Amino acid sequence: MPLLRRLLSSVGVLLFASFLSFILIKLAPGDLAQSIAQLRTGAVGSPKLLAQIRLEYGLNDPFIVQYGRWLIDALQGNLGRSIQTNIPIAQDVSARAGMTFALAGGALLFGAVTGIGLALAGALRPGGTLDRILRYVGLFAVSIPGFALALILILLFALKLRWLPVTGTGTLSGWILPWIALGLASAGTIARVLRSSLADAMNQTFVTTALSRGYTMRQVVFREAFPSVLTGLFAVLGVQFGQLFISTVVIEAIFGITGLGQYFFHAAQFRDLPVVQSSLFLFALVFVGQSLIVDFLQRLVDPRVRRGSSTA
Amino acid sequence: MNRLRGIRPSMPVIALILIVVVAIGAGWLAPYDPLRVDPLSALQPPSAKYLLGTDELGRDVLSRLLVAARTTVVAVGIVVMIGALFGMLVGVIAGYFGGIIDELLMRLVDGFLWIPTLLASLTLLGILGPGYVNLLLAMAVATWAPYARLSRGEVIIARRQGYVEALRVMGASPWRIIFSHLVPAARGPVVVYASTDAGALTIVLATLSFLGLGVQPPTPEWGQMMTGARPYMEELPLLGILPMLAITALVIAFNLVGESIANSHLRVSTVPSAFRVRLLGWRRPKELETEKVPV
Repeated sequence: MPLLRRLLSSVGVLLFASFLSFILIKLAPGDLAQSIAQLRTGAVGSPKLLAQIRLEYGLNDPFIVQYGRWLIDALQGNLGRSIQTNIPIAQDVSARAGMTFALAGGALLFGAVTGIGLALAGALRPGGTLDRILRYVGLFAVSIPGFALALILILLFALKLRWLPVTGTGTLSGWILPWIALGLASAGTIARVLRSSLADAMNQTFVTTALSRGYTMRQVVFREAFPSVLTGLFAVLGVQFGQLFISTVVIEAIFGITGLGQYFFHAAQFRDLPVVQSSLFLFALVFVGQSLIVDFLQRLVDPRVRRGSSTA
Repeated sequence: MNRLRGIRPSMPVIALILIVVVAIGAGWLAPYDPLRVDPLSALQPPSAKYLLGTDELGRDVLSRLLVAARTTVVAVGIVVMIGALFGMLVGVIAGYFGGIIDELLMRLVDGFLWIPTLLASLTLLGILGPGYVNLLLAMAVATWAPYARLSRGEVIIARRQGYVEALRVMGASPWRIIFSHLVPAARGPVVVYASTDAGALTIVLATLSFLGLGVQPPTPEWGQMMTGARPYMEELPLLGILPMLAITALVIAFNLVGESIANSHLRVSTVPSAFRVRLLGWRRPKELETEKVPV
């Protein structure tokens, strides 16, 4: 039953997001028909052409009818066509999605492994030298913009040391720099959040009990403290995936990866409104999917969430 | 300046003040006109004449870095101000009136909350088209929602206390209660959040400018300087590294100041003492307390 409610609320979020993105596009200044005409012919459209475009895109209908039509089409996998290229958006998206998921997924994996490792290493010796160094490393990681890090990594490992290629995703080595450039900020965030929730957990009575019973610090951190913060960790990972997914815009541009990020960026650059709108909707899908997966994982590891108790 | 009493003159605070002072005084501090193009002295390494060298158009890098600091601090300042004020207004109204108004406003806030700042500002720039005003507007629209959420929570706590009821009984109008009492009550957490938000916005601004959708040339901006430096990174790495260091330093300063305000015993002079106690308890420096693990 709670699962059904969860799914229903996800559908609600999606509907809301699609409506919001639809309103935003409708609020765009200027005449949509005019900008379509300009993109097509490169000149100001004649009244006849404008009327034809309005008819073609159904711009004369009431707002709610337009939204309803868009929604029904979207549910059938038809997201409309790009103004720029006139290629169906769904076709472009399915061709490019793999790249972006590979990029964001790999970056999340890198961020999670590094971040969790750093946080656990710090928690084993709280206040130790490693812990303090990690604090600053984490702060640096969340404070450096992804594009700046990408450029520095290219300079260092591709141009100076020549260990890795500058661009190209044909081989695994071509993915390493994009993954690190995209994932380091997540590593920093995950390390910082997990470290502070581990510190909270270490202050709980069950940890004190375990320590007083003679378990080693390592046993206590791994068997008591870490499992108790897993639900929070999953939530952070989910949010990070959403962040990474949108940050691919800049990383894809630098490494020449033809994914959704580039697609969205070019749409924003050239005011390709149907693509901008679809991107927003797709992001909502990713967001909802992410939160469903997180929810499922949380239920899996934590009986408190399963029972829906308020203390969870 | 009572409300700033809690901020100790720690390193990050001093660093941030220094950056802001430099940013404001950039016009006087810059040794050259940051826009003056001189093709004959392009791509020079640091020298006595050009302390940090010149860029691909022969412009003085030091002057450009300084003026870019002003660009960033001013833009981020305006965006945080608009975002925070608008967000607070929405949050306070939602929290004070409650009921259907609260419900509607908070659903709107939720809608904006799930959109990452970069996605929202890119989308809005895509809709509005490029330009400085549109840039600030897009970033402000992308950033107001958390402020609304935060101040709504504070107002709901404040409303439970007697003084709001007392004010109402004394005949104060809702707007008077909102502007003279509830907005100040929500100020503390908002200031803390604003500082880390400023760090995030600095990154967003630099990213947008790097992509060519943010601050437009010839106005110097750090992210945009890195775009220009990219083809010359191999011969003159400094050209890209310096703006990167500048951005990172400013973001670190914002983040640390946010942390240190949160950790210091923030005092808000205009709120009643019971609420002040709550605020004192609000996000205590947990690391300090919990680190005493008996080993």
